[in-house]
This record gives sequence, C-alpha cells and structure tokens, in this order.
Amino acid sequence: MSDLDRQIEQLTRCEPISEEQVKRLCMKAREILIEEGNVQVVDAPVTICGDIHGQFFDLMELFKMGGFCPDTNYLFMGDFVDRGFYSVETFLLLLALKVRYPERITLIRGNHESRQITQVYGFYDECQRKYGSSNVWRWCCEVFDYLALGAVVDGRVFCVHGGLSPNLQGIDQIRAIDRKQEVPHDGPMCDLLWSDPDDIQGWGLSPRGAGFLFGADITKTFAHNNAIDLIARAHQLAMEGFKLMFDQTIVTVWSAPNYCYRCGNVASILELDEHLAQEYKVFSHATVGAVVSFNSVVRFSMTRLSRGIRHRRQTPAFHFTFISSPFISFKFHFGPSKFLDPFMVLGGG
Amino acid sequence: MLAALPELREITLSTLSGLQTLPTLKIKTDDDVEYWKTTQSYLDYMIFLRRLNESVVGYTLPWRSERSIKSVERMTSLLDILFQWIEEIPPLKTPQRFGNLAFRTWGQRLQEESDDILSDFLGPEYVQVLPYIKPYFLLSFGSFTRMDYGTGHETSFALFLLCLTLVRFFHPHAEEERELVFTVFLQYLRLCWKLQDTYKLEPAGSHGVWGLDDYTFLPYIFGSGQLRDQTEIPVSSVLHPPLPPTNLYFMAIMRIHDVKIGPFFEHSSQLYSIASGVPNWGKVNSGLFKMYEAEVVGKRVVVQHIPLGGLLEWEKSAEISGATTTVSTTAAAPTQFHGPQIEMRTRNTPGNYSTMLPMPATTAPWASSSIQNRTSLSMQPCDNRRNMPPPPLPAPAPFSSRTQIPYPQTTNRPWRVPYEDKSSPTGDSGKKTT
Repeated sequence: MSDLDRQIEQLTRCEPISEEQVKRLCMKAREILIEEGNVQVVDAPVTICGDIHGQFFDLMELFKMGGFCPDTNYLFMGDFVDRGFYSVETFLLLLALKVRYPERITLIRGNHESRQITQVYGFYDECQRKYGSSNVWRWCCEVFDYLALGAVVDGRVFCVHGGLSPNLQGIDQIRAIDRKQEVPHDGPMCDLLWSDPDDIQGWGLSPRGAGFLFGADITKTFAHNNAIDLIARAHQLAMEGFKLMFDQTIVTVWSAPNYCYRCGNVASILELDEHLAQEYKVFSHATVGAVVSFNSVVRFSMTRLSRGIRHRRQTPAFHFTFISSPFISFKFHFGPSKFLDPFMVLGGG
Repeated sequence: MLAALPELREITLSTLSGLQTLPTLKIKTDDDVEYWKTTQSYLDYMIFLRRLNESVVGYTLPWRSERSIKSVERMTSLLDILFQWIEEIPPLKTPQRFGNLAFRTWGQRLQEESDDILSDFLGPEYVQVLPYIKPYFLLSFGSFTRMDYGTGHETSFALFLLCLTLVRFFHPHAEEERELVFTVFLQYLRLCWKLQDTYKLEPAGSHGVWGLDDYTFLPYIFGSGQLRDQTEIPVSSVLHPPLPPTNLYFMAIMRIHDVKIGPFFEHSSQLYSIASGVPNWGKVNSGLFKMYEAEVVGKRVVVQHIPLGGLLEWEKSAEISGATTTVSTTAAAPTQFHGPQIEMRTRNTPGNYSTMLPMPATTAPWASSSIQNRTSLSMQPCDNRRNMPPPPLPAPAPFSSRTQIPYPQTTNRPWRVPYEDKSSPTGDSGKKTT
C-alpha cells in the first residue's frame, strides 16, 4: 500500500494528515493540475457534484450513493471549503483522490477557492485551529490557483461553478485566460466563478458584488453558439438539491444538505450516463448515529426511492484531541495557536 | 478579587454644546482600529462593559426590578414600538434570495420615525442628545442594504447605551446597570431574534462554524458574568441541554439549538471548546472579554461601520497613552450625520427562480452595498463593468490583522487588573489626534 493510499484511507476516516504530508500532496497536485486546461475535457459517464463546503460526512453520503472513486468518475464544481467544520479533511481527501486517480476525478474552482474568501468564511480559521499555523491554508490556496475554471463533458455539457460572463461568448475564449492566480475582483475569470442565472433579460448586476446575473436569452445563446446541450453549475443553494431553468438549458446542482446546519435543504448529484442522459440523485444530511435513510433518485420526472446506509460520525472526543481553541491547553496541539493566548495569560486551562 | 471598578466619566449636558462634531465614520484602516483602542471612547466602552458585567455577577434570570426606573421604562417602551413594527410589517410572500425585502421597509420606518420616537424617549431634558445617539440607534438592528445582522450591530446598540449613560440618562450604579443588562439588553436581544427569524437576516461576516456565534457575542459575556463566582453549575453543563433560561449564556445556547440541526461540537465549535476545556466561569468570562476585544471591536471589517466622534470621542485617551494629548478644538462646524441610507435594490424581476432560501448566497467581501441600488445593465456589458464600484483593494483584513496582534497582551489598559498601571503608551499608530 502506497503512502498516498494510506493517506486516502486516513482522510476517509476524517482524520487529517500531517502538515508535511499536506505539503507534499499539494506539490504533487500542482504538478498534475498545471497540465490541465482551463476547461478540462471530460468523458461520460461522470457524476457531477456541486458545493460541499466542508461537510465531510455529507460527502461520505454522496460517495455511498454515487459510488466511491475510482469506481465512479466524478466532477466536482468547486466550493469544497468554508462554512463547514471539515473543510481541511474534505479538500485534502478530494485532492488526494485527484493525485491518485487523475483521470477519474475532476476538480474545478469555486469562488470559495480563494485567499480572500477563505479568510472571511472559515477555512483559514479552520487551518489555524487544526494545524496551529497558516501553512496548510497557504499551500491549499496555492493549489486553488491551479484548479481548472470549467469542464466540458463529451463536448455537450459545460460545467462551471458560477455561470457565464459578458466578456466570454465562447468556451474557447475561456482557454485564453491566464488562470494561475488569485480570483480577480472582476473580469471573465471572476464571472465564471461568481455569476448566477436569473429571471431577467440580458445581463444584470449581481447583488453579491461580484459576477453578473444572466437571463434565459443569454444562456440559450451561449448554449447554441457552443453546441452545448446543458450548462451544469453550482454556487446557489437549491432547497430540492437541484434546479433546472430556462427550458432545461441550465441546472444548479447543490451537494451540501442542511447547509450551515440550519437550512433544512436536501442535496443532489447529477449522474450523466454514457449517452449523457441525466439522473439526479437526491440525499439528505448525515446524522450522528443514524443507520438507514431513504434517498430519492429523480430521472427527469420519474422518482424512485433507493436505500442508503448513513455514515456514522467519529466521536467528538477525537476531534478535540486535535483541535485547539482559546480554552484548551496545548497538549494535543501540533504547534502554537494564537487562539490559546488569552487563557494562557491567565494560567491556561 | 478585582480592584474597585473604574467609574464611568460623565459628560454633562451643559458641555454638549462644546462638542464640535457629530459622529462620523472614522475607521477605515487597520491602523485606525489600533488608534481607536487608544481613544477615550474605547476606554469608556471597555469600562462600561466591565461595569455591566460586574453588575450581574451572582444574579439570575428571570429578573424582577427592585424599583421602577423611569429611563429604563422609557427604553422598554421604545423597544416595544420596534417590536410592534415587526407585527405591522410582515415578511413578503415572494421568495427572496437575500433575506426578506420587508426588512428594508422596517428599516425605512426606523429611519423615518427615529427622530420622533427618540424625542419621546429622551424627553425635553435630554432631547439635545438626540443627534449624538441617533447614529448608534439606527445601526443597532442590522444592515438594511445587506440585510444582515452581526456583532457590529450589537456593539452599536451597546454604544448607544453607553452614550446615554455618559450623559447620565442612565446612571452607572450597579442597580441601574443590572437593569440595563437584564431588562434592556435582554429585550433588545429578543427583538433581534425576532428580526432574524421574521426577515431571515444573514449572519454578517460569519466565519462559518469557527465563530463564537453567527449573530451575537455580548450575551455570552454577561451570562458568563452571572455565573462567574459560583461553582454549583459547572461550565460543562452547557453540553447538556435543555438549559434553563436563568442566564444569558444558557439562553444564547438554547437559541442555537432552536435554529440549528447537527452536532453541537461541529456547528458551535468554539462554544463546545469552552464548555469542554475551561475549568471555571471566571476564566470563561475573562477569556470572552479578551476575545471580544480581539475578534469584534478589534476587527476592522466589524467596526468600520461604527461612527465615532461626538460623545464617543475620537481623541487619544490620556489614561491610556499616559500623556496628556492635545485636544483638538478647532471651531469647525458640526458635520451633519447622514444616517444609514435605506437603499432599495431595483431588479427587472424578483429573483424567484429559487425557492425560499433561509441562507443567502456568499457575498464578496469587497462588495459595496451601493451596487444593490442599481438597475440591471444595459446592452453593453463590458462598458458597464466600469460602473461597478471600485474594489477596496487590497483587503486581506482577517488574515493580516490576525497575524499582527491576535489578542492584546499589554497590561496597561486601565480596565485591566491591576487598574493602577496606566503607564506606557500602547498601540499608538503614530497617528495624530484629529
């Protein structure tokens, strides 16, 4: 068993790998990603997934329903990190799978795969807490810069995290972008990661402060001009797990159930078979101790139920042998954490 | 035992006319935040919070006032009015992506009626204070453009109470301070919960599961203060809900259980760490004070929206700097405060393709609220890109500020123990007083 296989096994148990291992993994990942195009070419069959946001145990649900990598080909449309508790384990597992099976899994960049966003929405804090320094965060951010901006499945399904850009008429224009950088505040690269479809005509300003809103006319024109059947994207919570719009020319796939622990939504994955027929599999969030759940599969308008086994969560005790906090002593910690300071001053925990 | 708490200074009404400026936005850079920490207003605020905290040590909820205090009664009447508005302005039925647009209607009403309701509240004796406290009042209930709420808004309300105490509308005696926490602040907290629930407000600048709480901080300070000097209820009892509503800490935790599903250690990792790792409430209380200074009032992204000047002086504190500073008394005309603009976002159609979202989508940290006021683009998207607000580059605030000074380590703040140490200057950014 190779070191990498061992790391995958360890990460699958939701156990973080060491800082040194992260460093090597990130270097290896960059070597692979640098060879990929801005728009990665992917063959069907493939399973397309949306935002994960550090919800590791829900990712395990996803794999149980969709099949584990490399048995199933996967395409993840970004937003692996931030908000959830397990961004580190989630992203590193996906990255380790990418390095181990580069032809079986495609990772494209979401707007959260960015230095600036991760400092505000939690991934930076998590790396600090779990490793006691920002090294892991820094190395991961360097990998983010190399992630593809989109993918095309069999030339007919265009996948991107956010949406379209008024500066891009064709997929070929995306290939001309110099992507190896922090996500800019505007311009085509920013728009691909930030835009949203909306019930408007033409283009609209996005309330997010980055990217644009684009209407059915824009979507259909883009699909027509690029000989695309479907645009698959993520980026927006869909309470039913997915949302088809504009005469089914665009779909939002959302893969983070009960988002932020409070939204009560279900999640989905989109399975494209070798003929690009679409099947949406819907799943709900993993709960501690739950054993069996029912998940639904939507094939166009047909619905059937399938049975899945829930993943059992590790005990909290494990996590907190790892994670420091303002209130916990140094003993289980990899290194000094700034969060410890206030209480150490007063004599520690 | 702590040394006696410092007194909160008084600003007499007769000196109000001598104040040269009304509050305006002062904090724009990380250096400005460091400068603020050397000012009289920051010192006042820290003393005020410590005094409020001290006033509730050993006391439990529910609270029955020992005697009626007129100013407190007026305050509850004021908050009752705001409660009533929520009833009168129901959430819109149309699904919204970003909160519920009815919150802007509520905010508009606040803006329009604030002069009237604050005049009634202050009464003729104190009405001259109105322009100095109104900015903090208007900022206390959330952002009406972003439709979010967070610790910055909560801080604004605490500063509103501070202003009223500086001018002795409220009196800094333990009994009245206890009323401010148990009656006024609790009612404010309930109002904010109601606003969050009704209009589905986003947590402002939430760090995901790594923040203390999505919305609030002060209940944890005051609640741990209530429990500080006892040992019967251990810190770890927090891990065994349901918790009785006997203190603000428990109430805030039960609020989380009401709105979140999932393991507590995951969605509230900080609170879990505190409950499982801190030996006593005294350390929880003092630790939270330090965390508040570092993570809330020490963060530019939080406090940049809070206006300063006027009663909350933007002058270096002699007590902190250890030297008498030159107080600028230039005879500039008071600058007019323009309250938070209620901006209505115009769209071609309501964003109704998505079902009702309880959690808004990610907003760019560099996003300006002003773009929400614009209509959609014309047919030249590339040209219209120029209409986008210039991003405040570079803004790696959370990172840079954290790596600089994670928690204040100096001991020469007068509100710290020992209080007598008021010597060497700290955090002086070299900035001149304005």
